[in-house]
Amino acid sequence: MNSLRAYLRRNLKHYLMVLPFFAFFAVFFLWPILFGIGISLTKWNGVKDPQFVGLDNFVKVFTDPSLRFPAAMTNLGTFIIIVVPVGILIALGLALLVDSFTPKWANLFRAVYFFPIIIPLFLSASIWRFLFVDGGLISSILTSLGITNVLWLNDPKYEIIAVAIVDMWHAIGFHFLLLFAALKGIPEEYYDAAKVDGANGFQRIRFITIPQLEPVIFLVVVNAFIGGLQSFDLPWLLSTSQPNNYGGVSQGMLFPVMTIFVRGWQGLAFGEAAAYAVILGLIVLAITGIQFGWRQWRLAR
Amino acid sequence: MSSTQTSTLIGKKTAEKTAPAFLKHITVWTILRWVVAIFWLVVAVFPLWWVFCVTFSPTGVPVTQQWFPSSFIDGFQKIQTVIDQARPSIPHAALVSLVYILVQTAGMVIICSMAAYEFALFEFKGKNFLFTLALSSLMFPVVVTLIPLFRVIVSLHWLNSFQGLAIPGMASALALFIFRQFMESLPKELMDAARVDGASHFGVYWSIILPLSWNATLTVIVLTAVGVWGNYLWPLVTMPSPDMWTISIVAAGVAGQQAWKTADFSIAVYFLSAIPPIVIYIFLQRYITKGFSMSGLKG
Repeated sequence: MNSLRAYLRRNLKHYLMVLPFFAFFAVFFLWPILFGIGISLTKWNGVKDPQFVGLDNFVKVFTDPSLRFPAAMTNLGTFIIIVVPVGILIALGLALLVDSFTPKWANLFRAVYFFPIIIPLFLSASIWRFLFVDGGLISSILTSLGITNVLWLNDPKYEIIAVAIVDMWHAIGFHFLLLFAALKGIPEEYYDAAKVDGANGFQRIRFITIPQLEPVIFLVVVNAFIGGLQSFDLPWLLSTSQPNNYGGVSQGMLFPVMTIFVRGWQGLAFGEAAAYAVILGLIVLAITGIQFGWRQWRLAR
Repeated sequence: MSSTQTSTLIGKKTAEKTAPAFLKHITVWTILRWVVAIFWLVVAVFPLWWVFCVTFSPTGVPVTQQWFPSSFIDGFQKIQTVIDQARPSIPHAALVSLVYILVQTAGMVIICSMAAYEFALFEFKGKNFLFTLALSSLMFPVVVTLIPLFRVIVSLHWLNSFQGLAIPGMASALALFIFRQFMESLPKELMDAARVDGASHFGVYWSIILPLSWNATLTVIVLTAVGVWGNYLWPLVTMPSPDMWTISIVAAGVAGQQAWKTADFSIAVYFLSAIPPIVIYIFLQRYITKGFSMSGLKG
C-alpha cells in the first residue's frame, strides 16, 4: 500500500498531464479500431441491432460483383505503380537540381516547388478537372506538340493516369521538400573528399548522395504508399462521382475508399463497409510491414 | 569503390586535356538546368495562375483558354456575385471552416502541448510505451477508423455539430511530436528556476514552457489550419445538413450545380477558397515548411 502511494506520488502528476491526450486518443482512435473490427463481423444498417454474421462480409467484399473489389484493386495498383516511382524520382531530381543553384535561386525554387502542397486536394481536383477538358490546357499543349489529345476524364484507359498526374502535381513538392532538406544535411566534406578522389558528378550522386538520403527516401516511399492506398478526395472529385454513380467511366477511377464511403453512408451497410476498410487497412499494414522488414534485412547485410 | 576511383582519376586527366570541350559541356548543362528549373516553376504555379486569369476575365467567356487576366472589373464583380448569390453561401461555409479550425487548433494545442511537456522533460513509468503508441498512429491506415468513428459521433449525437467536426482530430500525434521536439531543446535551467520560485508542476508548463513554445504552437496552428481547410471526407460524412457544410464541400460541389451561372463563376469560387492557404503560405512560410518537414520525418 505504501509503495503504491509512493508510486502514485512520483508519477501521478505526469499521468494527469498526459491524460487528456490519451483520453481523446482512446475514444477517437483506439476504440474505433476495435469497434470497426467488431462492426465488420456484423450485418448492421445503423438502425436495427447489429447481427453477428462471422466473416460473411469479408467473403462478400471479395466475391460480390456489386462491391467491385477487383476493379478498385487494379486501379489502386496502377495508381501506386505510377505515383510512387515517378513522383519520387521527379522529386529527387528536382532536389538535386535546386541544390545545384546558388542559395538565392535555390530558395526561390524551393518556395515555389513546395507551393502545390498547400492547395487542398478538393481544390486541386476541382481545378484540374477543367485543365483536362478537351480544349483545355493539357489538350492545347498536346495538340501544339502534334500529339492527339485523349479524353483524360472519360477514357477508361487514361482516367487513372489523370488521377496520378494530379496527385503527383500535388505531392511532389512535399517529397521534394523532405529530400532537399536531407540533401542540405549531407556534410560538405564528403563531397570534397570524393572530389579529391576524382569522383565525377554522377558518381558523387550514386555513392554519396543516394546512400545518405536513404532514410528519407525510405520514409517518403512508405508515406506515399500509406497515403496513396487511402486516396479518396482526388478520384472522387475528378470523376464527378455521386453516391449513386461513382468511380468514373467504366470504373476507371474507382478507389476502395469510395466504395467504403458509399456502402456505409448511402447503402447503410456498415458491416460490409467496415469489412472492406479492415481489408484495405490490412493491405496497408502488410505493405508497410514488408517495407520495414525489407529495409531491416537490407541494412543487416 | 577503389577501382572506380582509379578509373575516374584517369578519366579526369583526359578531361583536363580537352578543356574547351569541357567548358562547352558546362554551358549546355547550365542552360538545361535553368530550362528544367523554370519549367517546373511554371508547372507548380500554373493551375492557380489559370484560376486567377479566369476569375479576372470578362463574364461568360470560355474558361479553357484564359492564360492572362483580361478584366479586373469583371473579376471583382464576379467575386461580389459569388459572395452574395451562391447557394449554399460561400461566406457561411468559410465561417464554418474557420470555426472548425479554431475549435480544433485550440483543443489540439492544449492537450498535445500538455502531453508533450511530459514526454520532452520528464521521466515516468510507461513513458516510452505511451509515446510509441501515439506515434504509431501516424503510420496506421486511418480508413479503418472511418466507419466506427462515424458511429461514435452518431452515438454522441454530434452529427451536424462543431464537436463532431473538430474534436475527433484533437489528439494529434503529429502535433504531439512537433511540441515534443521543440520542448526538448528548451534549456532545463528555466524549469529549475521556476520551481525554486515555488511554481507547481502545471504552473511551470502553463507559465514557462507553453509561452516559450510559441514557435511550435504557431507551426501546429498553421499546419492544422491548412489541413482542416482542405478536409473533405470527414465533413462530407458527418455534416449532412447544408448549414454545417465546410468550404471544401461547398466549393467542390459548386461546379456540379447546373443552375449556377457559367463555369467562370465556379472558378471564382475556387479562387476565393484558395486565398486563405495562399495567404498563410506567403506570410507564414517558415512555419508551414517546418510543419510539413516534420510531418514527413516523424518516426
